[in-house]
Amino acid sequence: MNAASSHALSRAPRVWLVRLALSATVFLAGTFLMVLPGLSMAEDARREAMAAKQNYLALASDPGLSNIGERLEIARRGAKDAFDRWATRRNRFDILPPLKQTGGEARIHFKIALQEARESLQKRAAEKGFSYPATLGLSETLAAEDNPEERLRQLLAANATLDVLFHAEIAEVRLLAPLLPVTLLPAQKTGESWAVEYPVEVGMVATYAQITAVLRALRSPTHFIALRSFSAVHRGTDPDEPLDVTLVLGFGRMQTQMPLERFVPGRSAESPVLNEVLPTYPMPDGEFVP
Amino acid sequence: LVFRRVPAGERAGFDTQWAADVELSHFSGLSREDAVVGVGENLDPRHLWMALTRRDRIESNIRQMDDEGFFLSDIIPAALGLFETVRYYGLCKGRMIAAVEIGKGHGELVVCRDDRLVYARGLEGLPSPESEDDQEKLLTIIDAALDLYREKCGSENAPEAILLFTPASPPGFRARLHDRTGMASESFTFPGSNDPNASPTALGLALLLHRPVSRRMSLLPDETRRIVHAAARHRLWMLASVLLILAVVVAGIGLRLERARWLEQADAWRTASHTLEKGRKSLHQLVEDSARWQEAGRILVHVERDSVHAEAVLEAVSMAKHDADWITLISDSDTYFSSLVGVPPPLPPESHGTAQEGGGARYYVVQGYSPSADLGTVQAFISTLQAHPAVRRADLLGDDLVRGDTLPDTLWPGLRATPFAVEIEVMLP
Repeated sequence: MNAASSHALSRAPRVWLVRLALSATVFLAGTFLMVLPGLSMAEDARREAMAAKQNYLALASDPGLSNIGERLEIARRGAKDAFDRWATRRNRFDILPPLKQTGGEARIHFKIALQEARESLQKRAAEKGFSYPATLGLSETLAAEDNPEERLRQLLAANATLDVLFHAEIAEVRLLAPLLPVTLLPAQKTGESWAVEYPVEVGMVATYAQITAVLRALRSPTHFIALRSFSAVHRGTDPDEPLDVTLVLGFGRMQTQMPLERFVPGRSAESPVLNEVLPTYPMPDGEFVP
Repeated sequence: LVFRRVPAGERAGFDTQWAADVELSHFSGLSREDAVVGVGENLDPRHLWMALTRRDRIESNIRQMDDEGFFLSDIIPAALGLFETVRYYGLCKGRMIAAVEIGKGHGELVVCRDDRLVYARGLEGLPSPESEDDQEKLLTIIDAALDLYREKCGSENAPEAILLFTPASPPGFRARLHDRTGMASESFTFPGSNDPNASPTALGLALLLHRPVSRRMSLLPDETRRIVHAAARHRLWMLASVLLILAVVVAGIGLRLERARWLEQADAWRTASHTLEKGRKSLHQLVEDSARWQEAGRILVHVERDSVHAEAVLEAVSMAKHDADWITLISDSDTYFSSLVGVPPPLPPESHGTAQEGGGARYYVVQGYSPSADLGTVQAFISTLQAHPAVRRADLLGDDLVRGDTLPDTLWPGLRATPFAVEIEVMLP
C-alpha cells in the first residue's frame, strides 16, 4: 500500500482499534474483577455446602438419631406421664399449708399460734374426755437462735397429728413431740433438696382397731403422711389390754424451688432447647403454687 | 469494464485471476500507468469479466471520501449497479435488452439477458437532451455504443428493446431512439417512488453491497480491500466485544447467584444438622427428666406405703397368731434395732431417696411367747404369715439379734413359756 492509501485508510482502523482495545480492557477487567473471584467464591461456597451436607449425613446415619421425631414423641409422652404421676403424688405429700405472711413478726405469730393451738387442744380433749399433752410438745420459749418459721411449721405438723389422732378416737396420748425437720434429697445426691419433712413423735395407748384407724388416716386420695417409725408393745397379761404404741409421722412440705420440675416445658425458661422442640406440658390441677 | 470471451477449450479450469493479471499487465504496458483490476463473479463461464481503472483515480476517490467523513465500503463499477437493478426487477428475464441510464454528463449502457451481463459500457460526455442538437448527439453516443456491442457480439444477438432511464425525456426522444437503433424503447418506474431522479445505478450498487465480498466485483486494490473489509467488520468486532462483556457480566452475576445458592444449601444442611442435634439433646433431656420424675415418684410411693405395710403386718399377725401364743411387740426393724424400743431412732437431718433399697420391702419384728416348748405354734404362725400376700418372707430372727431387754419376763413368772422373735419381710405388689 502506498502513502496515499495509508492516509485514506488511517482513520477507520484507528477508531476501530481504539474501540477494540477499550472493549478488550473492559472484558479483561470484568474477567478479573467479576468472573475469577466469583469462580473462587462459588467453589468455596460449594465446598462449604458439601461439608455441611456430609456433616448432616454423618449425623443422620447415627442409629441414635433414626426416627428421631417418633422417638421424641414417645419420650415426650413418657416424660409427661412420669411427670403427671410425680405431680399427683407430690401434691398429696405436700400437706402442710403455706405460712401466712408474717411481715418479719414470726416470733409473735408463733407464740400466739401456739397459745391458740393449746387452748383449742384443751377444748377438744375436754369435750371428748381425752388425755393429751397440753403443751403440744412445743416449748413456748423461743431463743434468739431459734428459727420461728421452722417452729411455726412444727406447730402446724403437731396440729395435723392431733387431727389424725382425734379422727381415730385415740383417748390417751402420752407423748407428742415435734422433731427437727428433715431435708429430703434426690437419690442422685445432687445436693438439691426438693422437700422438707416435719416429723412428729407420738406415744399413745391404743387398741388394735384404733391403731389400724390411725394407719388408715395417714393416707387418702388427697393426701398421705409418712410413717417413719412404728412399734406397738403389749405390756400386760390381759389380751384386751390396749397397746403402748410409738409412732413417728412425717408431714411433707415441698421446697419453694423445685429442682425436679425445672425442666418442665412451659414452666421454666431454663431449658430453651426443650421448649423449642416440644409442646407445652399441661400442668396438673392442684393448689401447688410455690 | 471489459470482458473477454473464453474459448470453449479453455473453460474447464479457467483461472480468472490469472487472466485478469494478464489483462492488467497488458494495460499497464500500453498506458504506462499503474492500474487496478477487479474480477467479476463467474456467472457465465464463456466470458471473463473484469474492471480496469487507474490506481491514482481510485486513491483520489478514497482520499476524497475520507476527507468528507465517509466510511469507504467498496468501489464497484457503475455499470454493475445498473445491471443489478435490471436483474433485481426481472426486466431482462427471458429476453435480451439494452438498459441505458442517462445522467448528467455521464451514463451507463448494459446489455443483458436473464442473469447474464452480456455487454457494458460507460457513456462519457453526455449532453442534456434539451435541444435538437443535443438529442442528436446523445443518440449518436448511444448508437455508437450499441454498434460496438454488435461488432463484438454480432448483430444476431441484438437486444429486443432498449430500456431508458432518464430523469426527463423530451417529447419525441423515444421515437427518435427507436428510429435510430431499430429497437423498441421502454421506460420503467420504480415501484412506490415518484422521484424522477431515482438512479437505477445507485440502487444497484446499494444492492451489491449487501452481497458477500467474494461475490461482487471490487476495484479496491487488494491490500486496500483487505483493510477496508476488515474495518468494515469492526461493527462485528464491537458486537462481539459487547457480547463478550455481557457474557462476563452475566457470568459474574451467575457465579454470585450460584454462590448464594450453595450458601443457602449450606445453611439448610446446617439447620437440618442443628435440628438433629437439638433432637438428640431433647431426647437425652427427656429421658433424664423422665428418670428423675419416675424416681421422685417412686420415693413418694415408698413413703406412702409405709403405713400400708404397717397395716398389712398388723393384719397378717392378727390372722396368723396362734390362740395360745402371746404377741408382746410389733415394730419396724429400724425401731426395733435402735437402742430402746418405744423410742424411735433419730432421723438424720437429711434423707436421700432410697426407693431401690431392699426393692421396696419393709422389715418388721414380731416378738412374743409360746406356751409350747417345741415352738410348734410358732412354726404354724410363720407358715400362715408366709401365705399372706403382703409377706414375702417370715422366719425366726437370729438369736443374737433378739433384744432380751424387750421381753417382759416379769409379767410371766408362773408360766412355762418360750420366747420367740420373728422377722417379717413385707412388700406389697
